[in-house]
Amino acid sequence: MNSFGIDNVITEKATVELMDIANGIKVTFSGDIDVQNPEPIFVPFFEQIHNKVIETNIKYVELDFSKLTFLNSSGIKTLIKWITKVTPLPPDKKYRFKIIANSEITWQETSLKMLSMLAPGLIEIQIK
Amino acid sequence: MELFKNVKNGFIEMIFGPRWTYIATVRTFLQNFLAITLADNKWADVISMAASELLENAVKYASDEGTKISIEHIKDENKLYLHVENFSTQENIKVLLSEVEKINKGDPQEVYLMKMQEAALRTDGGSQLGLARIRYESNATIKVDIDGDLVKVSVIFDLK
Repeated sequence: MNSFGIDNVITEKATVELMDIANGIKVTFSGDIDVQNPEPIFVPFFEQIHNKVIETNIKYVELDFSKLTFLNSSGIKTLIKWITKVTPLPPDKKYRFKIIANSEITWQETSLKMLSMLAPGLIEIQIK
Repeated sequence: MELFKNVKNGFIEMIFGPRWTYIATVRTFLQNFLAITLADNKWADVISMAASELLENAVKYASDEGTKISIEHIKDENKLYLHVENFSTQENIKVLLSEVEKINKGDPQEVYLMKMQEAALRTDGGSQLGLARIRYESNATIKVDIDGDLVKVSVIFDLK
């Protein structure tokens, strides 16, 4: 459990866990996200996190994809929707993302790098 | 048994569904099979991702039973051809042709970024990111052939 009181997302093939870390919060993705319509599962989850992050004035969100083996383009869209919620915020409400990618999973380096281009200056990528 | 002698090029063909539940199975099979036959995990990952995205489109936009996926590895050219065929409506075919034209015309990274920005605003459950993602991640050529309501999407990977 996390201090936000937000339940983790557990589907048949994927788990998305939210946890507190010293300088913010961490969201850990594992398994395969390849459902036909991931929006009803992930968009409300990401929205809850986004709202709580703003409410509690947290400035750092870590997204760890290193254990996520597959993410379809509909899943990418749910992340895009989250990230593009941050870009129009006033400077005092904005928060930063750090994306952790696994160099052994080919799509991560390419697809996750592109996410940083959606919000220049707000996303840092670490490739392990 | 002549069929199994003198095999010059690799070839796989599967016909199913369309059913969403087969997609992950096909993707995993292709990833494992291509990792061995091409002896290259990165290409195996990219091609299986592309196959998965094309099959998702085939299932989402199918108007009738039947989805065919085939892969041909032309060793002399060092090229791999991935084809996905399915039946669709004329309305969907029109959208597909226009999307492929846009995707092939621009720089792969710029087009993908533009499609991502558009996806953020979409509320219809679709992302329309799959083809742009394939092109960006593989630099492959995407082709569409239409025969009535039969759609054949081909992705040509230059493995050099």
